[in-house]
Amino acid sequence: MDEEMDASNEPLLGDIVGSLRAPVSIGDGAVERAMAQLRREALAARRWRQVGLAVGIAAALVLAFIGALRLRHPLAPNAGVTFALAAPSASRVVLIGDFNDWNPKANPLHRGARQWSVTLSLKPGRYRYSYVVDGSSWQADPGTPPADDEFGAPTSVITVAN
Amino acid sequence: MKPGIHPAALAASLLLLPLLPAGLVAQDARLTARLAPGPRAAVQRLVDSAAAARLPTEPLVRKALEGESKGADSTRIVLAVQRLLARLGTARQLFGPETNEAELVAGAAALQAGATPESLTRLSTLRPRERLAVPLSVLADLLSSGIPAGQAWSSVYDMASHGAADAEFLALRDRLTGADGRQRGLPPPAERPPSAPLPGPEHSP
Repeated sequence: MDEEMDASNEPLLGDIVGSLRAPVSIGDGAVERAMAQLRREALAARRWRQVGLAVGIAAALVLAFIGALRLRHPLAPNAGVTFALAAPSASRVVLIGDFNDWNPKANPLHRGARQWSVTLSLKPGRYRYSYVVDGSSWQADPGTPPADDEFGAPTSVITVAN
Repeated sequence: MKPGIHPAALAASLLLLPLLPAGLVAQDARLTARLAPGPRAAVQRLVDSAAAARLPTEPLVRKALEGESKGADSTRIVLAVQRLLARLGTARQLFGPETNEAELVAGAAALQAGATPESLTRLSTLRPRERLAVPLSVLADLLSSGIPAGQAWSSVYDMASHGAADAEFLALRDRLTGADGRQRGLPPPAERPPSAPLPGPEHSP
């Protein structure tokens, strides 16, 4: 039964094979059009990749910026704290404290009409400090609370809030 | 190819470096420059101990530099750093491992000024941890200024229990201690316009 069906299908299979083997005629410029289409698709794909990369970089930058802001905020410097001392007869006044590693050269005060002063930008925190007048006289700040001191020199403390 | 560090290993090292305790990375150059070898080694050991316990090291270095700048002898410097380390450790125990440096420093200052550990623990339960530094600092200031402990504690505790802002704590401190308000962003008194005289009684005797 199967052999009879195979024999009857032989002409049909022959026609199919023949049509598949027949040369395909294509119009003039078909190859060029196909190649141009391929080039357009490749260009579009490259553009999408570039757009994706740009969006990715922009998103990463935005996230990094937001992260930096969030990290910075708790330690953001204060707008400015002015340290001032009335010392009319002094020839030199320096500010010395936790914020400058107790370095007498870091923050000299500037003589003004009524007092010596300097303004520093400080991060939030608690800072101990003193004034040193004319290189040897340690003075606390009369405008801020005194600090407990283990070393026997007048010391003040300032708290800078967020 | 030149022998050297693999870029990935270098990048990993740079990323991990800040996670290492500071004392294990290098000796603090400021201590090396300003302290004599004896006290420097003792202070550095304390700094390393703090780093190993994940306590802040910078306050300890600053305390040593403060002592040096004030001409204190080595024994006093080392003792002061040692005591500060102990107070920072106590503050850490009271407030927990997530407490930041500002809170530990303020807590240590409050302990030094005479606040009891119990009072600090009570205060810490009233406010979120990130907002503890200023109330603690103000408590320390009040005690250091000679305000009676009971008054200082009740003033700070009342404000904390009402959810006061940091600026309100600083205003309280200024009011009680006579500080000039500079820490609240006000200019020094000499640069402020003269305030109007307080109204007096209409008919003075």
